Amino acid sequence: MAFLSVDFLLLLPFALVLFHAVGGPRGGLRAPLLLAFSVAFHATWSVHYTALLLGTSVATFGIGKRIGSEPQDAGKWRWLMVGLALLLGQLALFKYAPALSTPLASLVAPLGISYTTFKLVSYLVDVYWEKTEPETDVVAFTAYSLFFPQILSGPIQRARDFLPQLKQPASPDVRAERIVSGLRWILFGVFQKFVVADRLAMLVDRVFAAPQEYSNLGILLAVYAFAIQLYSDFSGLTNVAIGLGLLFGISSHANFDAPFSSPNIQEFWRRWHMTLSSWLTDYVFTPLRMSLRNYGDWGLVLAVVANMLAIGIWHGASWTFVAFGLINAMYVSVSALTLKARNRWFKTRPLLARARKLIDPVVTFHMVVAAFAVFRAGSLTDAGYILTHVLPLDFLRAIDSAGFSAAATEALRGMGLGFDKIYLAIPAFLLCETVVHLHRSGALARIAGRTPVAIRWAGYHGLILATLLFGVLEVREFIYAKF
Amino acid sequence: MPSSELPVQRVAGRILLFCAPLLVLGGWLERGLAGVENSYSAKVRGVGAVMKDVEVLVTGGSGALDAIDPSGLSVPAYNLANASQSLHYDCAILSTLIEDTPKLRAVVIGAPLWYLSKELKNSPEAWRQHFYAVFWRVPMEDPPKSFITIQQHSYTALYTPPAAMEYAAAGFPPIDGGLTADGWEPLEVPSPEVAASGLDPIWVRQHVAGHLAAMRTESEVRNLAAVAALSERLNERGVPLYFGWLPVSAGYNAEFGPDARAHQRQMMERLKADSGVRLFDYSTDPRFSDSDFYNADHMNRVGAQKLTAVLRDEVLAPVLSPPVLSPPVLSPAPPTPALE
Amino acid sequence: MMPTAVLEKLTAVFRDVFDDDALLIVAATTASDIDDWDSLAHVNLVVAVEKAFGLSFTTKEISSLNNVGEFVNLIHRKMPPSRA
Repeated sequence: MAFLSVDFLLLLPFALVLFHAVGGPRGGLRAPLLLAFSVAFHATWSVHYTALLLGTSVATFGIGKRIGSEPQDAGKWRWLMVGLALLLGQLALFKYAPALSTPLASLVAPLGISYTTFKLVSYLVDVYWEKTEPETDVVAFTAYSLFFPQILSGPIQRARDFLPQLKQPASPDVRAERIVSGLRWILFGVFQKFVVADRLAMLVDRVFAAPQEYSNLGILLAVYAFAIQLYSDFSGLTNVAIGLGLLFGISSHANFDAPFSSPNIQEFWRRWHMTLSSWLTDYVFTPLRMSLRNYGDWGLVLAVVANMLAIGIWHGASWTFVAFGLINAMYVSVSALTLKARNRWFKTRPLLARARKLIDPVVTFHMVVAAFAVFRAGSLTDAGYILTHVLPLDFLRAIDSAGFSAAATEALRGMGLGFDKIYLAIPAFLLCETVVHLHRSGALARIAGRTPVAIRWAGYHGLILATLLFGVLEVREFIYAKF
Repeated sequence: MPSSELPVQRVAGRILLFCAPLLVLGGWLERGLAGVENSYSAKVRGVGAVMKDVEVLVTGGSGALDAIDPSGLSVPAYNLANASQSLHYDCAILSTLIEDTPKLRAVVIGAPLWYLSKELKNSPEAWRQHFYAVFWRVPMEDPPKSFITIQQHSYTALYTPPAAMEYAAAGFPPIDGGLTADGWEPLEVPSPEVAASGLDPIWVRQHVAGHLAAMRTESEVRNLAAVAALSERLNERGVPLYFGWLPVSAGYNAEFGPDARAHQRQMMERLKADSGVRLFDYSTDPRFSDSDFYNADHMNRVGAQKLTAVLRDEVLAPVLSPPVLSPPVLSPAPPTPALE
Repeated sequence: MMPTAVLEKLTAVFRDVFDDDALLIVAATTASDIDDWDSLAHVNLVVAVEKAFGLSFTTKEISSLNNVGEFVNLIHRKMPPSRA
């Protein structure tokens, strides 16, 4: 069952009523209920893999207790290594074995194995670092590990953040507030996914499947569209996940923080897929950087390369993902190493410094768009073709000779798309970003507080209707224009 | 629930209140859409009205929908064909009608060249399957993967919300697009430009390529079985089943190619040998020229009436004329009918 | 070294790493309070502190720090007792 499916939508109210009716007054039942829901959710995809994930979680639970009870650091370290070998080995097996060896080519990864693995690894390392006590309640722990809202696309929540919320029931007031807040997150995420992301997908999928068949203008538009599509899709899904968590009383960290307005590439990676970035920073980058700290700048570069490569290949075993990681490693290393020098240069030029504030996000955005184009391309050759064919010189020449509207009409016809299907995504995207920025600055809460309920509700109704009207809920092609 | 749960209960109440206007809107849409006549509901109603008297049932895809005019068959007849229909749905629909059509004397499947390799689920118009499930109440080619198939429980989902709201705005008009009372969809004789583009070699190549790409071997297995089963049921009632190719343009034939054609022919011969299906073939008949077509694989009104007459006189004559035991009829190459 | 002296010396290190002579830190200061204090700068900071105080930290010790005050306590704990 997927989140954004009718089946899930119909079962959700029952699960919610059960959870709050039974688990509200009897707080001790919340963990078993959430575990039951999560197991049931998983089982609709595969019963075997559900059992596997449950087994892995219980094993991790046991290892966590061992790490805690070992008196010496050597013993703790050994158990940590056992746990990491189990978790990372399993992840590597499912993600990379099919690509590297033919006997296992048909192996399909269990749903959510990446996110579960990350959560469990973070738990074990945190226990070793004594940032969290080993959990003693196996039901609560497995509920954390298999928590169904976070299984498909995160956010990656740390055990020390999740478990206290699960075990100390929030007051009914807080829970009620979270339900309303959760619904808002879900509505926003659904709008982002269906109206912006899935609409842009129609253009992006076509062009990236066969870039050689499209004009430079088409490629340029598809490249921009992909960055927006990826953001809206991912952000939408994690917003729905966060909202679902809130419905069940669990508050989790946001995953995106208006990344496209980041002033530099390091900041971008701190605002994009934030729970993954912070996981990598805490468990990969910082430990690696610490052990390489006496190698100066080379230590930094190596740690950055390892971090970014991890981000790249986490998506799968493909050269475009590796290239994506390396490109970003280059971006971040160069930016980090030259940041101090650049800041000093601008300090003595206040006028340019002000211009810099406006230009920096634009430059960063384009760096990101270029890297994402490589990420999305079907192969390295395609990626090369795409990056070398983004200047729509032919289109500009056509404007010169035939005027803008004639050139534009011809270009759209050449792309074989009803552009009217795509352009709706742009105002929708701008609306979403406006909301995001208002939310960041706190203005949204203030405005909402001053708006009467009826108007707010009308706004939500409008969003729902807009999603139904403009959302790509079902892709239908027509050969015969009739029903 | 203990009174301390009041805030949560209040939120639940507010959620219900919030949903109320949406439910009212949804209810109004559903009621309005339920009354909309589309080509599927029109045919269900149309054939239902003539079930007791109908003697010939015609079915197939859009080719048959446009090419066969039941009123030209000289006996009560109905055209059950529809756009992008596949053999699975032809046989499923006919199965629901066999018991209740006492006067049935022949069933004709007017097929495009690739019909035996086609299933609707492999077509871009696969969503039409929901219409068969809702209006004809027949099972889909494959059982649905989800527990609830929303398109089969909500008209708004069936037509998709944007289309649904469009119809609502237009006052829920009928959308069955120009069907006659006996299920024929005549296409007007096109203007020279439209005619030219419908026969344009580049368009024809793309069109045929689309058909070739949607053909599947596993579909052939299922289609042959379905037709064989249908033929058996009809034979029990002494009703012959005719399966054959409708006229297509020379360009279409050329693009389809002799190998694909031979393979299809081979399957048809098996149907004839194993299940007594009677075959016909007008795909290369010289009597049909460019002026009879709307585009490469659809006939216009004039061509349709011509074809219907040919079917009546050559294919169905033995069955429709006073009972005479005559062998099956196959495609004549010269103008005079030749019996095989 | 007394904690207040540690804080003073630490402030000097911070000012050097973040290139800001007016920077002030207190026990409650965290990474979010200083603009350029990210994971990249964090390790540079650790290296600079190690050099200034002649100490060596483990990743475990570093990752358990939540603010400057805890950093000061960590330094104070690890410093040999004879230093004044």
